[in-house]
Amino acid sequence: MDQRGWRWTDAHFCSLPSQAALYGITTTPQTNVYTHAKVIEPEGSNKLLVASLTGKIVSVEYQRNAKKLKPSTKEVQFTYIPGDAELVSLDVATRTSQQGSGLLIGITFLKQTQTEDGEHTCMQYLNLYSFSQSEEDSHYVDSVAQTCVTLELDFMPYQLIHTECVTDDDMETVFLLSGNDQKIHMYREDHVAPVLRFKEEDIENYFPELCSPGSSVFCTFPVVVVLKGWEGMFDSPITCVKIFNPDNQVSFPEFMQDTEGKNNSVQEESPAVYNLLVMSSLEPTVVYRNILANGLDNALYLPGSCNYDIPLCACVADIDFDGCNEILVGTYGQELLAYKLMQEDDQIPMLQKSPSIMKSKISSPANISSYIGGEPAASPRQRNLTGSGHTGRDPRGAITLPRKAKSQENLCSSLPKNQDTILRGELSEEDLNETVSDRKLCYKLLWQRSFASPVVGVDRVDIMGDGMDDMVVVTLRGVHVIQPELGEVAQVCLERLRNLALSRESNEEDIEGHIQLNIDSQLTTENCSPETIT
Amino acid sequence: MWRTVSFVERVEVDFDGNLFNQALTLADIDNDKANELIVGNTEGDLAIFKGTNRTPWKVCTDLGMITCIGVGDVYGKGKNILVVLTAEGWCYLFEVKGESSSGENGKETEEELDKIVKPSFTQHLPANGKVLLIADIDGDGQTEVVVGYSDRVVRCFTWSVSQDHEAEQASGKFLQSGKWQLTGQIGSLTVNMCEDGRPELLVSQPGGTYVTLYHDTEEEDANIHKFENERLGISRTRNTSISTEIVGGIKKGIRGEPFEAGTFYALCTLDGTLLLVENKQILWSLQVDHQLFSLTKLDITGNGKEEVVCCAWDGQTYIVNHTRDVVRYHFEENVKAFTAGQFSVTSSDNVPCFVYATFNNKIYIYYNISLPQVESTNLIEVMDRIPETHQLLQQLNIINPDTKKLREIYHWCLYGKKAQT
Repeated sequence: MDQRGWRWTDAHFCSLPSQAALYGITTTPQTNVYTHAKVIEPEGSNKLLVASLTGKIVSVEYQRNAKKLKPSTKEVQFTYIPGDAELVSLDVATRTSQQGSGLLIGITFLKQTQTEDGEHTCMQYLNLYSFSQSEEDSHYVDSVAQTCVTLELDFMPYQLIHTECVTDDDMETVFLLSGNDQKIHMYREDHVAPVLRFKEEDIENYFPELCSPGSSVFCTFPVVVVLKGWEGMFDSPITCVKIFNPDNQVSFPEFMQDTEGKNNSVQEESPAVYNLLVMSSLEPTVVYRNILANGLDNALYLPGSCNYDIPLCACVADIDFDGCNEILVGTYGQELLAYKLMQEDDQIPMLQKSPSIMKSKISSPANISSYIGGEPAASPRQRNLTGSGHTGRDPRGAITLPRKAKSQENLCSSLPKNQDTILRGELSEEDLNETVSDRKLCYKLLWQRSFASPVVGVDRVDIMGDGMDDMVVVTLRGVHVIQPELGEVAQVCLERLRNLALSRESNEEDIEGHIQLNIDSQLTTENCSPETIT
Repeated sequence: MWRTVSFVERVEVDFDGNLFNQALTLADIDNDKANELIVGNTEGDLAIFKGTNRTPWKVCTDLGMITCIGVGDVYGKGKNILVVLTAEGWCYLFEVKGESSSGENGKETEEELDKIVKPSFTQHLPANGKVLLIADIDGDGQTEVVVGYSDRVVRCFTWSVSQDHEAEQASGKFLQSGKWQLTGQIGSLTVNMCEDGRPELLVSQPGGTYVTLYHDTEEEDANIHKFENERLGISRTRNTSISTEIVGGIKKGIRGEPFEAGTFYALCTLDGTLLLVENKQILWSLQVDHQLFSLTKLDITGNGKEEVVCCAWDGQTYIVNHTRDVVRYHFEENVKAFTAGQFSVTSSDNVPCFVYATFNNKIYIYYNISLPQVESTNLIEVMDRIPETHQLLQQLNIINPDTKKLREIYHWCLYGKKAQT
């Protein structure tokens, strides 16, 4: 019960429109999916926009009709994009300016034109669309864009992102676009104009740190405040960078707060810990832990993350519902790898995923670790690579009982329920301490999943609107929505609801006595044979 | 729009030549509880594939034009026998033994010889058999071999051991025990369980219909057995000569009820109609734009209910459950033969598999295909089905919550670990 495999399966696969079939023979689709963006709508009907090189933009969402949940894929028509345009990048932002709220969608594309003397020229554009929020219709993207701003670019656009920018006294959403002119361009809404208008602003005034990136910038990330600067050098191009918190913070639902006792309303303010994930094309992916305190010194490698061709994308999400974030790595080698931060001697929950064949494909974990142990200390030219950088041994070799993972999961059904609640409190605190004290932690491969074509994007989005984040994996052939086995998730959810209900009931009771009882029972369970729980 | 999935993990095996859809089967022929893949082509090559090996485990050649392959306990000894039927009418029985003790004779020639299986029994039956069914069709406990012919005849054979030469090795042969002369071309044969626990033999007929074959004979000719045409009330007018497939014995999987409670059967037509039928009543029908040629059943979710699996020539595969929820999978190649069933990829475990034979002389076995559920569902729906949820929500003073509230609660339950302490 405790060691769940959390097998994630396809909830839906949306094959993207491919180029025309020749003579009835369906050729292998060559839809180069370049970019995707998620649209978070207030009603919970989240969707995903996927743009392909062929100029098609597809929206993937779930709809409910006749009491059945159905996936739906629609092509969204954006005006002012010529039919032969090649899309480069796409970004969706929520607009938070004084001139109204709503969605902003930015699309960069190229257009080949032929001049009269037969020469081909390429024009680059950035189109910015705004969708305002209306009361009745929450599905913005379906409605035609109200306004469109077209900006002609004199450079080749690469990645388009948005970020919050501190203007005079307000936070404002701005778009950042990297280009082949080795610069990052910033686009900001023009508030003086009566209609929607964007103009390029000098980036030096807002993001002085981004004015000289040095080389071609393919990958950018939003930064709110720059506190410190570090420099590290990688041997190969960096494909993805992410800053993330090791834990999730989810506030208690408001409508339950007022009826709530004091124990739940008190939110624990944990110090902000930021980890930095750097993915480079030929080296294992690195996580620099707690960069605000340690800089780039505390590095952990994701073993085997570069064994499946180039790692292209990453997503940080809590995929096993224990409150700690895991890392998903998508590779060109058609694999999605899930990593979890664990104690070195912890065992990976055995996942009976794919029989035998994978074994020959995956080089054995022992090989990976020996490679990691030897190589990377030399490869990224880092100043300091401390011992924590070296990764785990063969997980099957280390014979220890999976006690830690069990207590994290905390679903000891053998214990009486109210004891379980308080036991949970005890253990999670212990968890926290261990994370802070930082002893022999390493990332381990939790599971991996193969896809039919290279994985170019992975993101978490609650596309089904049920409170659980589904994983969206974009490959060169289409979009996969993957979800864990819902029966298992429901069990976890139910368990926590049960605890919540019990903790409320026991609020008025004498808790002290219970704690004593629980510690005793906990000790006995830990000491005597653990098989009774497993 | 229907849910679509994509399957990735597969075993690719080489097999040359053209083959009939009936000449591709998954079954346990060496009685080790692990299923093998058996294929036969029109050149007379028979190949048995085991596990993840690309090359056949056992082969046999020069059998004739193999039209169908069946596996069953034809001798009545509790042992599976491989039955290969050719268009010429030759019926070959193979008793395939499990892994022989290798290593003793390590010569390569010996190994090559070890690979070849020889039929243990051969009998000439009427020619032009196109479909084969090995099952107990009359509920007498003995397995019959039923063959459908291209001249619209169905014959039933039973294995009989001649008692005359008791001193010698017991010899046996197939004796014809039934014959039906049908009006339309035979699509496929199947056995279905009636509600009273009796098996019934169904034969699909063109135009999405089928006939039930009975064991009692006509009054004027004792050699011809009775049958009854079943007209399913389908409103849609369509081609009455379109070829039709049928599969019966689809387990309802109702807990507590025995298997005798009857089973469903399904029909599909080449013009894209799929029907699930129970006791002559259509439960649902489905219309697709693809040419459905192969129909099987498989419990893909592992809940005891068998889903209907249907494949089209262009590789589009439909998995449909009893409540008409559909999952599609598109195999991106044209398919000449398809089957779904249990196959043993590792040593002993049988897992649900799809097998596609392509026109490029390759057969693909997809083995990691099991799904948690057929329908698209989310956490709110799953939680809603658990009675305890409502009780707990009531305890928490959450009465008649809307989707938005539930979403917030569940989101907090799953991700708000810290807040809980």
